[in-house]
Amino acid sequence: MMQNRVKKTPIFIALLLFLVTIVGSRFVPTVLSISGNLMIALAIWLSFFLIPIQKWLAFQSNIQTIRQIFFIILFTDLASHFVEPSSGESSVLVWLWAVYSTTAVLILLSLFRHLIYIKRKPSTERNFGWMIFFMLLIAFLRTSAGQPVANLPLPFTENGVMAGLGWLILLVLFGINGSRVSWIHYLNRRQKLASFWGGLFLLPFAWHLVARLFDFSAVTIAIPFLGAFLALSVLFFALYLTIALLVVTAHLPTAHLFDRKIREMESLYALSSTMSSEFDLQKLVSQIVKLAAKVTEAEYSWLELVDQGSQSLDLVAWCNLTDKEKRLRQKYLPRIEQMEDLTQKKALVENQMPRNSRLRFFARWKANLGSLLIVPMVSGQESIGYLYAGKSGTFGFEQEDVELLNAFAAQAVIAVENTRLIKASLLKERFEHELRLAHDAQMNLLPKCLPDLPGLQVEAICKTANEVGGDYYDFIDLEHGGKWGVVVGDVSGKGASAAFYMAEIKGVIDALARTLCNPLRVVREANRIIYKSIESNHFITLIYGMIDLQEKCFTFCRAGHCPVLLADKDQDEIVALQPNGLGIGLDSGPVFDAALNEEKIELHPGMTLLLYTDGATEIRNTLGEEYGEQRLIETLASLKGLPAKQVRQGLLNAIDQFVGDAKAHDDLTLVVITFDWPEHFTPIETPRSREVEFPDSNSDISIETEVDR
Amino acid sequence: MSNFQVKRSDEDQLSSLRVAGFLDAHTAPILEREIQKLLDEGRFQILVDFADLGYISSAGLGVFMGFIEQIRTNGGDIKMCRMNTKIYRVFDLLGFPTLYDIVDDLETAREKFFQTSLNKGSQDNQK
Repeated sequence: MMQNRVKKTPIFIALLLFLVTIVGSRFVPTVLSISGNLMIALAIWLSFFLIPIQKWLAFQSNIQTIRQIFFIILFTDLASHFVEPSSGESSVLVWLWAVYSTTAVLILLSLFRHLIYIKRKPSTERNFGWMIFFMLLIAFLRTSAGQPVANLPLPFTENGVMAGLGWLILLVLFGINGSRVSWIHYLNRRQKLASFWGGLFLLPFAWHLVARLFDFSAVTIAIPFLGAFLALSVLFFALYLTIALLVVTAHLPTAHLFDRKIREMESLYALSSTMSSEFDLQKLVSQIVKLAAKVTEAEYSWLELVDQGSQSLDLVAWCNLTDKEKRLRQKYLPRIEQMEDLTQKKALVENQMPRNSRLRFFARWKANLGSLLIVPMVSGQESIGYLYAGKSGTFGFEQEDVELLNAFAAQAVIAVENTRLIKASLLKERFEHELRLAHDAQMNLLPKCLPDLPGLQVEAICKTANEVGGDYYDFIDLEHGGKWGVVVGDVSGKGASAAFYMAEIKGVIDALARTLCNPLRVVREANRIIYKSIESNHFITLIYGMIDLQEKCFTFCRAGHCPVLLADKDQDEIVALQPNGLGIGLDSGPVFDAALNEEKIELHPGMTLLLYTDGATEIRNTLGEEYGEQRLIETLASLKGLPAKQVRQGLLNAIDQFVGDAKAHDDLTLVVITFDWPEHFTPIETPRSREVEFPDSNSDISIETEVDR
Repeated sequence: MSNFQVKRSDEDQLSSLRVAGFLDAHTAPILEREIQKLLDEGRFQILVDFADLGYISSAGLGVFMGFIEQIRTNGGDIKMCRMNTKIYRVFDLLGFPTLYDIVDDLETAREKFFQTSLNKGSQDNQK
């Protein structure tokens, strides 16, 4: 918008001026001079807004701009001294010189504007515009009196209030624009030094040029207005350069520190961006070592981390160490962590390596070290490693270096720890996934159908304390519904190993039950098979029984398992049925076979059988008390005669109430069977079973799997 | 829960381990290490005193089973004594009394060891 306005208005004014000049010069001779001056002023103004020099400059660095200014001023001054035509020479040369010097000054103005506009504010552009305007105004006022001017008066050498005020305003504007030298802050030490020497060299030339333009100039004689403008511009350049040189000089003593801070920030920034993007520990530590060398300007740097397994200190990354030094690190520097400062988690700095006695052993490993800085990588109370920086010269590290490397190490610790944590959590995630799969697989081993027969109710539940457990139950249809095998088992131990044995025993019992009808034979055979494959300190306890619906009896064996509890509606006492028997896997065969007994009970309506695992009796409340067999028996007594579902729920409620908020440490399994057929009952021939609904184990890891219907 | 201790005392050939606290999956390795140490020293006559044991889990029972074969092939034995009724019930349910000597007091246990070594000695004499 601004561009459009400045484009259109001056073009219109230019046309108007052109007409006024043509018409006016016929009557008044001075009109030509005045309107000519105005047209030059307009051209200068337009060149500032129409030529997109600012756009080209945007892509070059400040130091390039300064270099261009240097050469243009130097060249123009030398040219003005040696080749500037005197007023007596041919007008072609004078015009060529006028064109050159005007172009040079305009380019220089653009270059200076580029520097002034760095960190610009809304007022920056305004101030610069006003300065150009006043330069044009003063030049115009000075030279439009009509008489030729050979030399320009220097500021304040004229008489008159107006002239003095004009100069004052212009000098203030020079000052405002001349003090915008913030580009100096962004120069590094070398560039500041170069600017200093360059400025010192250039300044006499710049002021010489000012003196020439104010004293005598061919351009001033030919076109007084243009000459005056050029002289004022060059005066501004010289002032600006003087101010800049003073500022650079003031910055020189702190340039080193400034550089260091910038380097520090750059390195910390580089480290934190590496931290957030790099999850590979090896790449991360290489980057840390490289940046550490850069930040302290060290020739050598290396990093040693405490191995998480062996607790030994290992060289993990290095910068400029030879293969031999890497190999011999362990041999020569074994006990670095016992150095006095390092044990207190402080940095250790040594600037006179060869002379120092406590670090003499370093010289045997790396002879060319003059200064050494060791910084512990402290995480919490522990040192997880050490960061080293070395220089071949003595007195290489100052206090700032120590602080810097300390800050750097603190960042690096976080990076290393993060990477380690991410690695660990990925591993954990994988394990959790595997456990979930195992859990799902194990839940699939529990029966999906429970027998559903008139006169016989079955309910079961298996709660695992962890993702996978060692408890199981099963119902096996032996004779198309006429006979059912019932198993409740408990593998010793917990977790994955128990789960494997559970899967094995389930397969073994399932297969044996279908071929050998007699529970005694089934369990004895199962022991022979399992004994061969089970670890010596593991065992399995189980109850295997057979419900015969024709004979209305329950025949079972107890292989080291908790007793079967029998409740009868007509009896007060709960009977704990505990025939002799060893746990499976305790003996290879003979002793087991001899010890195992079979028990047979008659079934009649109103009877309730409870098969359970020790998780049900050994479960503890928050006070550490066991639930115990006695409580289980009492609860069962209060539930006798009820349907199986209510019995199961009643038992679970009682246990939950007792346990409260305590966490279960063992798996818990309950199988409840109730009998309630009429007096003259014959079981049906067709097998029937019902589906078991499993909780959706994909939605979350369900520790609890209830068989409920 | 995990406060479990084993106190060992040796007299002649016999080593007594007095266990106290909770013997479960977490603490079983402590007892395992202790027994392994005895076996490494060539001591195979082991008497385990349960007087101060509060709880034993299946993993705890597994410890004894894990070593019994090695001990018996070396002519030794593990005998157990002074179990409270709750602990005894666990051993009993599993059928341990068929496989191990479980006695009431220390004296009987020592006598049993003595008899065994006498029998062994007489067998050796007969040979």
